[in-house]
Amino acid sequence: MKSHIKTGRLGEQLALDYLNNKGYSVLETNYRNKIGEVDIIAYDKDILAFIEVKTRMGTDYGYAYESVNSRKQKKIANTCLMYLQKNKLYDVQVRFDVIEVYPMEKKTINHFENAFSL
Amino acid sequence: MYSKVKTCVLQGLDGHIVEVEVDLSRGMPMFTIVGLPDAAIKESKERVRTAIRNSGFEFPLSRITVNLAPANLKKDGSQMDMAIAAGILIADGLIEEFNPEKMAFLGELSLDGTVNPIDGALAMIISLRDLGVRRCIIPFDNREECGIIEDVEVIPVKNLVDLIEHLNGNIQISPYIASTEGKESFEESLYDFSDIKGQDGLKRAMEVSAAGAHNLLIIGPPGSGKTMAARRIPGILPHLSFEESIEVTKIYSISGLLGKSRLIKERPFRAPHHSSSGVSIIGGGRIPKPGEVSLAHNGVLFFDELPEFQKSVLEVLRQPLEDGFVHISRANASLSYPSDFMFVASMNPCPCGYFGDPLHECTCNQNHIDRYLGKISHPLLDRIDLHIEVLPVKYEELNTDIQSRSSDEMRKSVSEARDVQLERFSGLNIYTNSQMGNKEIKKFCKLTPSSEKIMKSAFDKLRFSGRTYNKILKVARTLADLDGADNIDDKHLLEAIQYRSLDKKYWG
Repeated sequence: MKSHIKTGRLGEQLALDYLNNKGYSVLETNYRNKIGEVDIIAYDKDILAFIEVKTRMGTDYGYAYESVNSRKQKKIANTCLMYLQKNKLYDVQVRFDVIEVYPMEKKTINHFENAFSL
Repeated sequence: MYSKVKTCVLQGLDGHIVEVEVDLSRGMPMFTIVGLPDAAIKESKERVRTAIRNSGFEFPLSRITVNLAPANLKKDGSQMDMAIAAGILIADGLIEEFNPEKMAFLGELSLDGTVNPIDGALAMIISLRDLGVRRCIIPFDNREECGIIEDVEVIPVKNLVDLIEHLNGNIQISPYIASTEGKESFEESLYDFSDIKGQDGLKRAMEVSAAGAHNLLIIGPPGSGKTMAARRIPGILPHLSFEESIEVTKIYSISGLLGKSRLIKERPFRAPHHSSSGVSIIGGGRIPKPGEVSLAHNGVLFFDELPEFQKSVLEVLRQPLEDGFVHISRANASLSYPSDFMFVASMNPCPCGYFGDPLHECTCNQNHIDRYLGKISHPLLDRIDLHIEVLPVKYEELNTDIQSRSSDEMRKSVSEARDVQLERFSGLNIYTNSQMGNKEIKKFCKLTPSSEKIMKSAFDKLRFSGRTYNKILKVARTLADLDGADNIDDKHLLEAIQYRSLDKKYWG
């Protein structure tokens, strides 16, 4: 496996553990449809959170959350709209989160709740 | 999850109530504003969001729709922030038990939740009062101007937290009432007419023009005291009445020129430079803003070096000089602003300045002089009631110890004459002789048979226009008022005619 995919998998696993700890009930991981992909879909109590996980081995190329730019945001939002429609979730409160993971010796996880909106 | 609050939007000097409806619903987090907002209102999204968060509250995570009703009216200005923020907080349940009836919100938010002052607050409060609003939340820094309006409780708030606590009844903010009583006495002005030695004719003309709010044109060589005298006119004008103050303050408020002051009591004196453009004089812009003619409303508009102005700029003055208001039409809005001012202009008789001067030789040729004077058209001259020529001061006059007439004395006779006029025109909605219409002229400017004769021969000889005829009668009325006379006498009429004989000398 290529190393950057390995890094990503590791980060997603760390994020999942973190969310489970926090009491989120995870519905899907790596949900994929014809528009795009969402890393984690989970319920935070009654709010449905769509979570993008970004993993970096360092901040030499900028912070991880910075790479969720407006293009990526739009793509995630559209993917989510399709997910909501397919599952007939018409009356549910939605939120977009970003989790950045630095899986180095000192593991750091930053969770940005409601990181962006439309 | 729904709320409705009121705010105000200005069109010219008139305000309209705008109802800000906020709906919070579940779904994708979104914040949309509909109802023809302009750029400043669209940007209020970010200000409101950040202000609410930085005030220690949570910005609701839901689909937020803000509607500005009526939806067909274009809205502009930053005063809507406060209403949008209040609407969101009410819809979110952070403000409870609140009765938005007869209450309006005005104010701009900054990112830390502080409420910033807005332009045009006074004009909005007055319009809201007329539309039935009885309580109004306003920015703290606008309290002086808003507090003068009775019948409306104005509640000044400093920040968003204060607003919420006040509406929830946790803290009391009492309505602000500004005292309308100010110093009635004139402050020692730097400029006093006693500084001007000699030039009695000029001072007399200024007194007459101030007494009746007549327009005045001063022609003379450089250094003869034209500008010096004009700067002293505000010092002999009476204070604004309360109604006039409100009119003036409204205009300054929407122009954003009010600063921290409350009611404007002194008559405005505007002296735009001669490079000013037509739009800056008359008013304009995409959404027209008041120009110099409106800023000089109820005061003095002074044009120094009249022929140096662009000809097109001078000609735009014709309509406001006659009507007392300007109507500005643009694609986006068509607005009227009041522009009832006293026009004072000064000029040299020729490009070099010394034409007709007994001490210097004029170096201009006739062509130059004609072209210079030709910049001022007859229609414009016709609208100026008093023309006066000044000559250079003599050494004996300059060096004399004799006290010449001071501003105090002149102001006294001016206010006496104005009081007579106020009494005469009470109930007619005019204040001065210069505002008289045809009906009033017929009623109040009756001539004796001997004056009729003088008028007839002057009219034939100097070839007056109909307008000039009326202007002369008005000036004669003012001269009689200054004299304390009930009727216009021969001497009043003769003096009035003499003020109009100059255009024949220069413009033939």
